[in-house]
Formats: sequence, C-alpha cells, structure tokens
Amino acid sequence: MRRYLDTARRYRWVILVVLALTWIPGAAIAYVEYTTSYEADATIWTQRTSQQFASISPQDPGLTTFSTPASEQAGVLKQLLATRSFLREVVRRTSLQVPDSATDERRFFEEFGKRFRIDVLGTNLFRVAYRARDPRTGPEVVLATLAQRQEHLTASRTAATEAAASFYRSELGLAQSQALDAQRELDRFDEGHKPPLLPPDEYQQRQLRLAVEDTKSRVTDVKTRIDRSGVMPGILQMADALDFQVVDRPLEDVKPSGGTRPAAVIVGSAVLSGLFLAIALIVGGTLLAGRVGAEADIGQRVPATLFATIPEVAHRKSWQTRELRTALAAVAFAPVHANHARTDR
Amino acid sequence: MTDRSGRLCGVFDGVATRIRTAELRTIGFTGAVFGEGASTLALGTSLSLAALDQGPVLLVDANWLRPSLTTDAAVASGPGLAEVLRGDAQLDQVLVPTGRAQLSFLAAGTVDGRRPPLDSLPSFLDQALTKFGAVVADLPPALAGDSVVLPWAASLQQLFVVVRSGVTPLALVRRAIEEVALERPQVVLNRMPAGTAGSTAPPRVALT
Repeated sequence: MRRYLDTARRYRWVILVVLALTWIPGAAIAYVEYTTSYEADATIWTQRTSQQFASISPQDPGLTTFSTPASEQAGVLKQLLATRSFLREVVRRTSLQVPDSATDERRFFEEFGKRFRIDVLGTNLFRVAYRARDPRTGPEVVLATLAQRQEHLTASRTAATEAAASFYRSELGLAQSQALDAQRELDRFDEGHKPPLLPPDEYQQRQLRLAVEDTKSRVTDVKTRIDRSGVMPGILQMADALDFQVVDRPLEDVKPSGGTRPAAVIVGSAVLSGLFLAIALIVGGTLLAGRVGAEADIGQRVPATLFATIPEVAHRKSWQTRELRTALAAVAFAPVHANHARTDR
Repeated sequence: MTDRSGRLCGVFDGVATRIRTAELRTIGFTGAVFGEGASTLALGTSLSLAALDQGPVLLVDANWLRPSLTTDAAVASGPGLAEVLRGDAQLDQVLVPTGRAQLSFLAAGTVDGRRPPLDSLPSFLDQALTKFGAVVADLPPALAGDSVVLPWAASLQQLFVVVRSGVTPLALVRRAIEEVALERPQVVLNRMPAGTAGSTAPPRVALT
C-alpha cells in the first residue's frame, strides 16, 4: 500500500491535472446540460383493452404477461419513436430542421430519439416527455408526436379498409356476374318453355329462380359490406379519440427542467472516469516503474553496495519528514541565526 | 547526541559510526533526483560525526542548484565555497559557526551563473583536512548536476548515492550511478519503513 501512496504522492500533480481535465469539463457540460434543458410532457389516458396479454419474448410468443392499456400504448409509441421514418414525420410537423448530410441526419435522429421519455404512470395513464434546448420546442415536439401517432394510426386503418374494400369490390363483381348468368339462364329457359309446364320443367324453373334470388342476395350482401367498410375508419377514429385522451397538454416551461438526470449522469461519468484514470495511473506507475524497496535490491537490482539504511522517522504528527530537517537545522544553525540577529542590532 | 532532538539526530549515528570505522574523512551525499534526502543526510551525519568528538567536522553546501543548507543557515547572501574555489576568499574567513563546537559550515557562496573552478577541489579538500577531521559535502542530484558531482566524486574518498526506499525508480538509480562513474558505488537507503529496516541483512560497513 505504501508503494501506491508513494506513487500517488510522486504523481500528485499529474493526477490533479487528470482529475481537473475530467472533472472540470464534466461539471461544465453537466451545468450546460442542466441549464439548457426544458422538458415538456403530455399525460395520456388510455382504456384500450383489446390486448390483455402481451408477449414478453420475441423468441417464444407463448410467454405472455398481463399488459395494461397504458403499457401497451406506451410500448407502441416507444416502438414508433425508434424508427427514423416516424421521427422524420414528427420533425416535419415542427420548426426543427433535418440536416442535409446523411451522417449528420443519422446523428440528428439518434439525438432526437434519445430526448424522448415515456413513463407508464398507472394502468391507464402514461406520460410522453421531450427534453429540448429551449422552452418552445418541447411542447411543439410532443404535440407533433401525438398528432403523427394519430395520423399513422389513421393511415394504417385506411390502408386496411382500402384492402378490405378492394376485396369486397372483386367479390361484388363476381357476385354480379353470377347473378347475370343466373338471370340469363332463367330467361333462356322461359323462352323455350311456355306454360303450361310439365312437372319436371316446373321444378327446373323453380331451381333457376332460386339461383337468381341467391345471387342477387349475395350482391346485396357484398354491397352492404362495402358500405360498412367505408364507415369503419370513422367509427374507429372516434373510438380511438375516446380511448386515447390527452389529459394534460404540454406546457412551455420558462425555467430549466428535466435536466437533472442527464446532468447527474454526466457528472457521475466524469467523476468515475477521473477516478479510474487516476487509479490506473497510480497502479500502472507503481507496477511499471520498479522501485528500490528493500536492502536486498541494492546489489541485486542496482550495481552498488549498501552502506547503511536510515529508518523512516515514526509517523507522528510532531515528527514529519520536513520537521526532521527543521529540527536538525535548528540544532545546527539556530545559534547562527541568533548571532546574525545580534550583528544586525 | 542527547539534546532535545537527540532521538532524531541519533538516526544518523549509525552512519557516522560506520564512516569513522571505515576511516573516511572526505565524503559526499548525492541523490538521483531532488527529494531523495541527500541534504538532510549530510546535515544529520555531520551532526552525528561532530558528536562523536573525534575532531572538528566541516559541512559543505556544494549544491549550487538548490543550496538548501545555506538557506537553512540563513547565509544565502554571504560568501562561501564558490568564493573559496575562485580564490576570492580564504576558508577561515567564510566558515560559519554552528550550534556544535565541533561542527563548522561552509555555505554555497555566490555563483551568479559562473560555475566556480572545480579543478581546485583537491587542494581545497587538502586545505580543509588540515583543520578538520572530516569533510561532509552536500551535492546536487547526479542526474541534475553531473558537471558538479563528477569532480567531487573524483576528489572525495567516498560519494554516497542516497536512494529513497520504495520511491526512487530503479532506472534512475542505475543512471545516477553511471553518471557519476563510481568504481564501487555506495548507497544509503533512506527512509526505510520501520518494519523492514535492517530486516534483510545486518547493517554493513563498506570498506573503501
């Protein structure tokens, strides 16, 4: 241990410089981060219960856990915020500018995404927050995120409806052609068979009329389905508005807020880095630089003869090393000082 | 030594006794770098030698790079070794009396950027030995002031390299010994921890 303390003492200025170079900039960055952080948040009430259980392992869909509406919605939003396309659309809705260069753009979106925070506050309540550099951008980004989420949802539902409508339209075409065929067959039969009809012809005519009715009712059914699918997005949108309510809208905060955690992380990292470097310096300095430690080193490791050893003066407060020298100097030179003082007088 | 700091001065009695036993009359202390304790060792050994009462002792501050003993004696502005070597002053005129009757001190003197002629060292030491039983020189570190240490190493009976235990890097000690080109270098291991001092071998007296 003494070796390490000696190394620390020997390199004390280097250690101080290392600590200063890590701690001071760390503290400065943390201060800037704290004073330029303005967090805006929106609190959302959700009561969607379509999925009570959610998979907890992508590898094994059988592993599920109970999922509250808030955690489900928060999870969906987190996933959306992890995509650059979604973030790009959010930025497009704000006054922020996306950098031109591809590298800068990637870095911008990484930094942008990191500034979001989503906390689940309860079974039905969660909070979306964004930490900006100025008081205005935060609320703007949070509102843009919620609006973009809504648009994304609407777009995906419209696309699903479009797909269903397209399917129904092809079904309608088929049903209409079947109805026309059935009608044509019935008309042909009627032209060839004038009343009174024989019992077998009557039976066939009834069968053909039944087929016509059946195909017509199929056409009507498909038309109804097409009408319903056109109305469905509107209904779902209304339901979503009820299930996803922004309880507290984001406000412009004039005082810095939300920067405590990042600032603490920066300070902590700087302190730990400084300590790590200092300890590495001490340990490395001690282990790499061989020292003359014992009497046996003289002769073995140093080409010299040991003449004598001077023991360390006991570590008492009154007899520190400097004081040994002072005491010796006092014994030797105190009368000299006295003579000089007398001569001066 | 039995004064109020006797316990501390006694730390150097062993060194002084061995110097006497080895019949060394002109010795010097240097280190590899500053902070090894060469000046303290020179001062403590001089006091102990003086206490042995076997003739007067002259302590010379030859460390012109950092004349700490001269500063301790508060005679920094006065003449000393530099003037004697230049022939500007006689040894008797510049000696500084100390608290010990048997100990005299020769300050570093004024250098003013002009290194005193060190080729007159042998004659200076001869002159000093006519009046003193022993001459102890405090020298600058070997790696910092080799131009001063080398002539002294050639003129002294023994030059001790002071090594601070557990602190001085081996490489520096080796370089210092190479710098002063000693035939049989002697080391004084300074500030040995109490538990380890003298534990590996009994104190040895180097005969030169």
